[in-house]
Amino acid sequence: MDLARTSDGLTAVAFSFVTDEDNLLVRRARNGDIRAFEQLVDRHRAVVFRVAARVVGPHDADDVSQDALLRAYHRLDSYRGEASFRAWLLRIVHNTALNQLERRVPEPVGGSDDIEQAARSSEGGREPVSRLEARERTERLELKLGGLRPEHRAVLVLRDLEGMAYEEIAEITDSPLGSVKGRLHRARNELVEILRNNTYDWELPR
Amino acid sequence: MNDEPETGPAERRLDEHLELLRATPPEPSTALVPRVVRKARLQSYLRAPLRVVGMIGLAFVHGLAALVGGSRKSS
Repeated sequence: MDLARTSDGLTAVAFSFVTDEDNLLVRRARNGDIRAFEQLVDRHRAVVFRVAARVVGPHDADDVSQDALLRAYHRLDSYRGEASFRAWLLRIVHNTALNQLERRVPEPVGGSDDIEQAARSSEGGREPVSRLEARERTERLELKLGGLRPEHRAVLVLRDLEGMAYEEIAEITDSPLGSVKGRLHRARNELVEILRNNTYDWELPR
Repeated sequence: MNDEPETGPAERRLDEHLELLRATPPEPSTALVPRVVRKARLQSYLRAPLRVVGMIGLAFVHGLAALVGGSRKSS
C-alpha cells in the first residue's frame, strides 16, 4: 500500500514535471521560438501518431498527424494550460482524425476480402509460425477495430490501447465523464460482437 | 485503472486480445518532425506579409466603397 502510494506520488511528480516542461516550451514557442515548438513536437510525436494511426488507419496517419501538429502550432495562443498540453494536443488530433473519417468514402469493413488481405500480407518471409500467427491476429484485429464507429473507436484507443485516465479522455473528446464511460462500454461490446461474427475464432465467452 | 467498472469474461478476453495491439504500436517516420517544423516555419514567415497584404486590400476596398458612395451622394 505504502509502495503504491509512493509510486502514485512519483507518477504525480513526473507528470507535473512533464507538464511544467511543456508549458515552458509552449511559452517559448508562442514568442516565436521555433526550436521550442520542435521540442514539443518531438516529445509528443509518438502518441500523436499512435492515436492518429489507430483512429484513421496507417495510410492517413502521417497526414493527420502533420495536419494536427500544424493546427496546434497556429493555435498555441488558445492553450490556456487548464488541461495538460498532451490532452489539448490530442483533442486537436482527435478532431482532425474524425474530420478525416467524415470526408472518406465509406468502405465495407470486416468482409472476407479483408480477412484474405490480412492473411496475404502475413505471407512470405521466413518467420517462426508463432510470430507469423501473432502478426496475422494483430492485422485481423486492426481491421476489426476499423469497423467500430469512429467516436467509439477513439475512446477505446485512448483507454484500452493508450491507458489514459477517463478524465483525460473527457478532455480530449470534449465529452462529459459519464459519456466517455458509456461510449467505452458500447465500444467494447461492439468490438466483441464484431469479433464473434468473424470466421476466425477469437474464443470470446458469451 | 482502479476506476474501471466491472468487466465480464468477454471484455476480459477482449483485453487480452488488445494486448497484441498494445505490444505493436505504430511508429511515426523520422521525417515527421522535420517536415512539420519546416512547414510551421514557412507558414510563420508567410503569415505576417499575408496579413499586411490582407489589410492593404481591405483598406483599398473600404476606400473604393467610400469613393463610390460619396460620388453617388453628390450626383
